[in-house]
Amino acid sequence: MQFSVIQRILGLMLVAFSFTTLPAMLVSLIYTDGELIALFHSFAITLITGLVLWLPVKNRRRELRPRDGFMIVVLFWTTLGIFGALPFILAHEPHLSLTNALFESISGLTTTGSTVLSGIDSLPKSILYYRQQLQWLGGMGIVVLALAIMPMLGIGGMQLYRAETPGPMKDTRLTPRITETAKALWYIYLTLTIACAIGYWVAGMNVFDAIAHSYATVSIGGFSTHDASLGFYTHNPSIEIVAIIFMILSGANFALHFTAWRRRNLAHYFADSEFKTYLVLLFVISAITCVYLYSQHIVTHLNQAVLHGIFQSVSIATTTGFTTRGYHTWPSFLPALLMFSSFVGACAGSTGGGMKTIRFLLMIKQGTREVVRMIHPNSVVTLKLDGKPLPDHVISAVWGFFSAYIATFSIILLLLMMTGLDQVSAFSATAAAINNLGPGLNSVAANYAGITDGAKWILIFAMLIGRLELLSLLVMFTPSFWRR
Amino acid sequence: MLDFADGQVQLVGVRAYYGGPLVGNELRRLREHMPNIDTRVAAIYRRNRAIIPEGHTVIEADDEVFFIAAKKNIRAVMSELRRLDKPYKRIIVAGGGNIGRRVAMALERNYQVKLIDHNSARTQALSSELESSIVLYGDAADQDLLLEENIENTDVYCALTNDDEANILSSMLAKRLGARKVMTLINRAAYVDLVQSGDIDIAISPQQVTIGSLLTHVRRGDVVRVHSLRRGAAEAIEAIAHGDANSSKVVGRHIDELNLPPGTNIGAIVRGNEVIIAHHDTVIEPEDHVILFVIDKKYIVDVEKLFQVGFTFI
Amino acid sequence: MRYAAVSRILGIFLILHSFGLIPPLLISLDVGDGQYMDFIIPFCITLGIGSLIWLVFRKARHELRRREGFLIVAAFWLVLSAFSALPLMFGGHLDFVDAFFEATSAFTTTGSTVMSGLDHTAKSVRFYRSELQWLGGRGLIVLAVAVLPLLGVGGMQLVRAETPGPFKDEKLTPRIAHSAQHFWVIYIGLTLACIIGYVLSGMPLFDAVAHSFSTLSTGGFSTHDASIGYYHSLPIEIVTEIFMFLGAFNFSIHFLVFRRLNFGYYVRNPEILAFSLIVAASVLLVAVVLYFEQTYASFFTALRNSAFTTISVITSTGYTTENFSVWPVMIPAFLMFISFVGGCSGSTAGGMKVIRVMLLFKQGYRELLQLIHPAMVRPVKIAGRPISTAATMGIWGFFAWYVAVFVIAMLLLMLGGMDQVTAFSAVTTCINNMGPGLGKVAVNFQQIDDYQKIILSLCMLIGRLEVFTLLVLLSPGFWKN
Repeated sequence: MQFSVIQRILGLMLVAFSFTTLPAMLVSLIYTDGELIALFHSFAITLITGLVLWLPVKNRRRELRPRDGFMIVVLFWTTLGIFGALPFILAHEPHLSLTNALFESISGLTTTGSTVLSGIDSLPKSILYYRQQLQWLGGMGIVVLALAIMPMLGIGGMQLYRAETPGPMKDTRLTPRITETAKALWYIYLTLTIACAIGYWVAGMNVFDAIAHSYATVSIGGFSTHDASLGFYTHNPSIEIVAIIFMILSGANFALHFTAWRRRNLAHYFADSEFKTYLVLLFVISAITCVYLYSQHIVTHLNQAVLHGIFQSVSIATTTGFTTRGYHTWPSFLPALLMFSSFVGACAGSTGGGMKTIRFLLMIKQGTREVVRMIHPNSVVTLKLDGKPLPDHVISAVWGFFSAYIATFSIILLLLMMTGLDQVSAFSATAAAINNLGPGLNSVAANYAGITDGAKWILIFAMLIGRLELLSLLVMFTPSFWRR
Repeated sequence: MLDFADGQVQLVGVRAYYGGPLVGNELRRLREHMPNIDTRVAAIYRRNRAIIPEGHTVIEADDEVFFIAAKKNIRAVMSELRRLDKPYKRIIVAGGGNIGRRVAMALERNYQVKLIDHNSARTQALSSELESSIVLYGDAADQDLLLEENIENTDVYCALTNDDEANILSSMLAKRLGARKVMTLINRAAYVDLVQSGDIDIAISPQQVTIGSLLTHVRRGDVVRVHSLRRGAAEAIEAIAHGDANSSKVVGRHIDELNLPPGTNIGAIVRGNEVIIAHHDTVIEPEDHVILFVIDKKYIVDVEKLFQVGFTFI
Repeated sequence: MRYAAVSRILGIFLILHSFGLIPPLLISLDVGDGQYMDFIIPFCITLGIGSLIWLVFRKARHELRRREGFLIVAAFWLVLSAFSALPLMFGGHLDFVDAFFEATSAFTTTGSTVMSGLDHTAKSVRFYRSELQWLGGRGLIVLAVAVLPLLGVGGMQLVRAETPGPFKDEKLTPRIAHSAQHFWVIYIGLTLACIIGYVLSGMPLFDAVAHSFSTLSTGGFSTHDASIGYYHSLPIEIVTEIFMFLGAFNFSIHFLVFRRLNFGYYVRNPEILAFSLIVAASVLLVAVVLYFEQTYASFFTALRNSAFTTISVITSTGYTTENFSVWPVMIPAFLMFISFVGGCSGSTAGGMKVIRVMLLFKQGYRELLQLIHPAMVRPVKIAGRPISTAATMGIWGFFAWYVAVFVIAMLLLMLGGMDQVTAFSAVTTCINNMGPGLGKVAVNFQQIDDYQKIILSLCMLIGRLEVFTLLVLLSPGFWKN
């Protein structure tokens, strides 16, 4: 472990992160909501801490190793999560406790979208803006993490994507690879955000809400500036349609966007089997939801049923977590179905959570192969993805990821129940946290204010572990990781 | 570590490091360290010169000390020394051939062993055979692989492939990347001297063993096994005493009665299955395997003559 | 597919199975409960149909291949469950779906019931239910020890090498016949020991026989509504615990121990070792939580109830002394989760089996190490023996299908209007062949509708046949020639 190099990078990240409070300060100035000082304080604290970390070791430029990579990835989310909580603690309104602020901040950065706040509509604009921006920044980090770092570290079969990372990536070293990927992807991310904001604005949101919601949409986060989430605009179906489109787009692999952009060719999307599976899954879940909603007379008008069905399915299945109607009040089959679909989640290399469609696809393929092997025990079947054969170690990595996911899920579920949550709430809270989805069911349907602090800490951990693709955090608990 | 009498007796060479357990001790004090273990210091090399070990000899830093002991005790001797020494923990072995495999098997219980081989099928076989070693598939001369496996924190790097050049180069790389100590297996004698002055700490020549068995057939007298030590400067000889008190110059005599050439001493005697560590009053009997340590090669002939049986013996 | 050969064997099964109705018939006549016709009619039907099938196909003596193996295994459980439902329809006054549910539950040694008021039900019917479990357990041992490893279901080929006896023969029929002889002796021996244990600890003979039947088969049907809790007797609980525990061991290890009279085989078997550790840890955890949540006043009572319930759940037996669904906080859910672990492979217990869970953990840890040492080559080993990639992949596949079936079944139940906790526990308890659930199915399964009962019956079969056996039948490749 090269601690000085890690410290240097962490310092740099904090310095960079501190500047992201500046837009929020600008918002505060525009709306004169009185949070300027609080924001400035958190800016200063973050900046100074960053500088203190960075300056003593600023010349330690050494090549990063995979182990340092794990460390930085984990520290990135935890440290920024902690410093991101500062405005929530310092502000007059909402003035949260440490646990709540941290929960809110981690939920934002991991693009989960679970909140402990209520009465969001009346919060100061700058804090609202800051929350949304936190998700947006988290989303940006995730794209880089998912496309540049995870494939390098080979987490859960993601080495598959090693070759597909966009940009001039023949270099296998970590640092230049990450910077190049970051540059290429930020343009796409930014373009999507701007397009989304314009879309919302044209559909009838005011400028502030349009920007704020575009942040949460493109990052697959799900924070809103209203208690009712997008249900605030329930009279305006075009807003839901814009949201659906951009949720689907942001749930796709950003490497695909990159290639399509560079080659100016949309056909590229449909040559990708993960993207196709993703669309098919969204379609199937939406169809079931719509039919059930209409046939059970939960929504009376057909077009309403279709719109809500699609919106809610896409929102949950991509792990965004926007809601229009209280979907948790639907008969329990639908919430359970949608909760399960959030386990599949969005595509790899997107800002979405869950286990990722590619892994789901590989598991289906491998599961079918096992059935074939039962019938023909001596058959040699090579698994292929888009015509390319998949090595066995990639498949075992995917399986390892899957079983670790299930095991972690079960343990967290039991721990939450230990804190006194009922089974349905615990199940949905765990699923919502580990899949970075957001809203749960039962007692955590509207917000997470009602659960104990212990439960919040467990969920903070669950959000982080889900976001870091599990294994990169779990690896830190093995003795060999620390062995020199 | 060298074997005699089918492995019943072993000879171990240990380098005394500054601050190590041996330095500054008289040999008889060493005995007190290991009260239950019958062992004997066969020879000491100081600045490439041999010293005849005596009770009051004090070991200095950088001396090379040769212990002789029964096999069942050799582990105790080693662990006793190791207990006092700052332990090596992390070992990387390059090359999963027979030697590499044996080394890893012998070490994996007490050390963190990583074994690198570039043959995929071979790594599979090795990984199912080895218990706790980490088997790595890759090229030992791959800098990234070595860095990934924390070469800078490795105590010992052993290059044991059957390719001299690869061994030398990967060892040099490992040393430059920060391995504490590198050992290299070198087949060609010419290379041994070449690398001795460079980065490589220890060059192991398989000839040290194979020459020994070769010489056995060439030499007169019933010399079972000869090991070259210190690249042939000294030899350890296992000889069998034949005949009786009349026909032999050794049988039936106390050790201090023997007319041993200068710089030669008897380390141990194997009688049947029993190992006797030599003392001055030990009597040699017929068919004993006598393990001698000859510091100067030129006296080997005299040793052989000593063990020759007179013409009267048929 | 050699349908004729399959049919012939099915006919023989039916004929043999019909004789299973004779003991309850005798009991009925002995007690004079007037239920004898309820056994005679099904006896005639089963025997008649079986003989008919057998007569038609008696010449079809082909060697069986893998494919027929899958079909026979599936047909064995499905068809015999259906026929076993007949006496319950007549004697237990259940409709067909209820009777089928009850019979499947018995035959798969699950132990979920739709019957209540057991204490007032005819003795012969009560005996019949327990006997069905015992017969199911007997079939299961052969299935688990000989058939599934041979078919290589879900990575179970790795147990193949451990099967004792003259099993180098790769042909299905002789292998199964051999193992049947060997293991039934042990099964019967253990059952007798269990009966003696029960009688000595004060159970009436009838109850002792019936309970030993469902203890050894890790089934969990009782002759009383209150299950083992009826007796309020510590010795009886301890006897039950011991034999549930033994019933969850690999029977090939029992076989080795009895043949060589060396108990060291138990200790040396890594699966049994792991199983015992899991059981001990779970018992302790549950006891501690129960004690600190003040469900029971003394730690001893907490430990006593925790030991019984935990062993009963993890061995997938499903006996109860206390209604654990009302225990505090996460214990009911925890018990549901550990029932997924189940007993050892080659036993009558359900769940995913300890050996698979062990391998899942080892493989998971291997993947973590692989992240730290990307170039590492390391097979997963059990007791020093490396496990082949085919077997590990089989286990992954098994796990994924298990989870998939679980999720789908749970959603299907909820589609029928069941609440989440009940659906979760019902699927868990059925797929793991355990018995009692939570919520609405904590006591019995009377409150759910027919559609849900059929889904749950299927779950029991899927769980019992280790998912793949049924899954294979659903794949189009299976039926292609």
